Amino acid sequence: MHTAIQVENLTRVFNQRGKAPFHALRGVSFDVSYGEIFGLLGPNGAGKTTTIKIMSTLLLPTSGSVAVAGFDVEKDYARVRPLISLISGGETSGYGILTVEEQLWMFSQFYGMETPVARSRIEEYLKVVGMWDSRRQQMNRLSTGMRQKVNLVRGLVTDPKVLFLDEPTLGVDVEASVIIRSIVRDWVQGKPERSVILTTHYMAEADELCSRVAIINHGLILANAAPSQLKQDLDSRAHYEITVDRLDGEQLGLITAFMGEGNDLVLGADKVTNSPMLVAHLMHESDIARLIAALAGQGATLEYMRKLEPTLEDAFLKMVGRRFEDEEAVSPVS
Amino acid sequence: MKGFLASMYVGLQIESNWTKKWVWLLYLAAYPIGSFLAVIILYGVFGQKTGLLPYALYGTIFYYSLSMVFFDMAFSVHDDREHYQTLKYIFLSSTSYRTYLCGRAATRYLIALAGIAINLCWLVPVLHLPFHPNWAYLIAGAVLGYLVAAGLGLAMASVFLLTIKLDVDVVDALFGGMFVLSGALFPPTAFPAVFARIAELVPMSPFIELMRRAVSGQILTSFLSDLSTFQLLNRVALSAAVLFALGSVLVAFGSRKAQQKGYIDVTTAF
Amino acid sequence: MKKQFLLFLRTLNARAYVRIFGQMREATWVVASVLGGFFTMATYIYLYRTLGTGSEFSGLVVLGGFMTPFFLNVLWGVATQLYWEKEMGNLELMLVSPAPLSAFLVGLSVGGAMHTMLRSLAVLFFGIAVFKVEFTVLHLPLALLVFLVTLFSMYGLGIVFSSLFLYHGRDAWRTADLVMEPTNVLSGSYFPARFLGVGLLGIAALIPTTLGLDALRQLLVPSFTAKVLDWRWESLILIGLGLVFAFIASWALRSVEYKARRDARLTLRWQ
Repeated sequence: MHTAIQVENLTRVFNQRGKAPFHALRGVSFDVSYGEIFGLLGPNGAGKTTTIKIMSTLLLPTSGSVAVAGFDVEKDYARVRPLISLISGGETSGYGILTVEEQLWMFSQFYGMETPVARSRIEEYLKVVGMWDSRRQQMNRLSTGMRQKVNLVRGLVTDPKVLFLDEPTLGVDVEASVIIRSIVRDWVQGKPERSVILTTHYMAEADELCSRVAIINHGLILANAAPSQLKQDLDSRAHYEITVDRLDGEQLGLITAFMGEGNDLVLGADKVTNSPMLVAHLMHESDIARLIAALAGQGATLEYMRKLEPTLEDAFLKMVGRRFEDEEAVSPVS
Repeated sequence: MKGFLASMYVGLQIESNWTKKWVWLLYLAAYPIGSFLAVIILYGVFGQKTGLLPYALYGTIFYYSLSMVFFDMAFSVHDDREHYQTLKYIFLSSTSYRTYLCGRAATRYLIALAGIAINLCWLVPVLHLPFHPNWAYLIAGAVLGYLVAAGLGLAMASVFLLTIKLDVDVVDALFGGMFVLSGALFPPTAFPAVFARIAELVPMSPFIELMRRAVSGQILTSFLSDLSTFQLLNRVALSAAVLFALGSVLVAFGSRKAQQKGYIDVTTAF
Repeated sequence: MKKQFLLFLRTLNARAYVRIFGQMREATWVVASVLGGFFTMATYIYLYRTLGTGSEFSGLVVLGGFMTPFFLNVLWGVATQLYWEKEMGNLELMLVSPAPLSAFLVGLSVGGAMHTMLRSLAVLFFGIAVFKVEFTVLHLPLALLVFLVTLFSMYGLGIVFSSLFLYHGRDAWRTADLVMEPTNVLSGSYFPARFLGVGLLGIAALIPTTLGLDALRQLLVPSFTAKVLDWRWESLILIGLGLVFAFIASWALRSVEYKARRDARLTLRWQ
């Protein structure tokens, strides 16, 4: 069994009083293998949280099916729950009056763990996240970042097979985010039968962590591939930025003719040095050698050159049609 | 004024938007029953001969109206900070926190008075209660009573602003204590002499007695009977002025200190 | 089966721990609860003195004051707890865990009962020390047994209500607020329930405090004569009620959890 999660033709409709029903999911299908960190990217209201809630047994689907570790989340939810953990960003769960240690012990008991085992794992993970010294502090005195680290430990202590991370670094500072990402990556590699489902607003986070991402919008999966593949699919051409000491429009025309059809060259100026700057979109990566030779032929000396890589955000933008910052829609359960 | 009215509207929404309008109206009418049911049973079964039922019933329902103001103000701090997490936004708004609290509590008070009015419609004929209202005293008393309770409520709100751990049951205990001492349920003559004297000084006592007289048109017991109704009104007015001023000062102080201590947006997840 | 049982016990223990040890850290509740209980008791003792009833009524009031905190704990600490857990964001973590909801609620009940005991004992202490109320200790073990049976039945009812709160949220909250005082009055906290008359008594008997208090008064207040039924019958009825509530609670929790998952109400806050 290599499939941690199998989602088939999943739909979810929310009936709203006095309003038309809201179709949060419209036939979503994907699967996640063990050993994978799978990302769900999409704007607010796209259906990410609804999908996570269904996968984590908190919500029933309207139609379609979801199996976690081979168990149906609708019928066999009692068998699914011991195998999963859920961590949401910005959550203030637990009891502020308990200490970090007590809080983690309490949650471990909800999974039936023996206290000595729980205590040793709590110690192990608190040391990993750098919070062992804060173990006797009350939860309501922790900063957002510290609280989120405790939440992460809570999710890991029970050793789940599938870990759902819903915006795990939301509102957390850079240092804590780096720690959280590093722990998640190490954790999933720690045992073969582990997998992570991640939703995040941070494209760089998804790019860094996920072996595959699904881009979801209006309840539909628009793409499902490795981040590198999504970026590659965006544009197969190679892109370069080249700064030279001198180049005019006439010379550019000659070089463009030399490079041939399909290779586009755009002339501008470097914002800092004001030197001529060429942005080249080339059909083949090897064409860069011909371009440099052509520039030299025109008497231009190369000052600076870099290859432009498309980002996951570019891929997202192309598919969804807007950036995360432009989000508007809100799902009833988000 | 705009802020006060907006706060009243917020209060109305919080009180009413959880259900359909007709259910809420029924709720509004039924809610005060809890405050006087014990009075009817106890005086009806064990105290028929005492003739104190009107005294206790009027006393209890008017005490109930004050308690709504007091509780609302004290709980608002806790609720807005911990539950709805909107306290910080109220502080950032152009409306003063005192105005906001007063607006919300005013709605609660009006709702309580409406509930009392509805219930008096059946209590008076069924229980043969004396009912000869003096509307001038009744309206003046109602307004001043609100200020008395608001003064105490603001003082309590300031305590909640300055503490993040205080159990909300403290409000229950305090108001429970004042309920016993105010003579709302029985004439304080039952107390040892010291407490009977304290009862006369509890700020709610003259208000409750004023409202009893304003509704029934009678002096029902010897408690505060040495004061004429007009004197009672003056005493309530004095209490209202002093307590409201004190409450205002305290809540302003509490707000400033809470900002200094960083208690405006603290949640304990408790 | 054994694994499930251990999971139930561990969850129960952990949830009770929060109630008992967590809340001990906030000292103000002790003052608040003890003062609150004392004032309520004082109110009714002086009221009875005003009404000129016999001195045994003070004993009834003190016992009523002893039981009332448990009643309030059932209503506000158990019945509403799933609603509050949802508001705090804990409910989804509780549900995602393998522990059954009933384990959380039983843990909460055990913790709540132990926590409430302090207030109740304080009321009893003040009743005896300040108001010179006298009780007989002849049937103390039996009284303890009746008390435990009453708690079993009361907290069973609380768990039944908790499922309603989980689904209906603020509506149920308001309803509880509405019925709290009338229910407390009808259960005979401040007077012998027999005076309610047969009709009202029939309804009030569904509230376990009614018969529990009546039985305790028979066993502890020597001069108490206005009993509803013999305490033995009352105890049997309470056991029956407790079993019925436990059965309904188990069914209702499963059913409501399913409905809440279907209608997306498990995580919808501030509803």
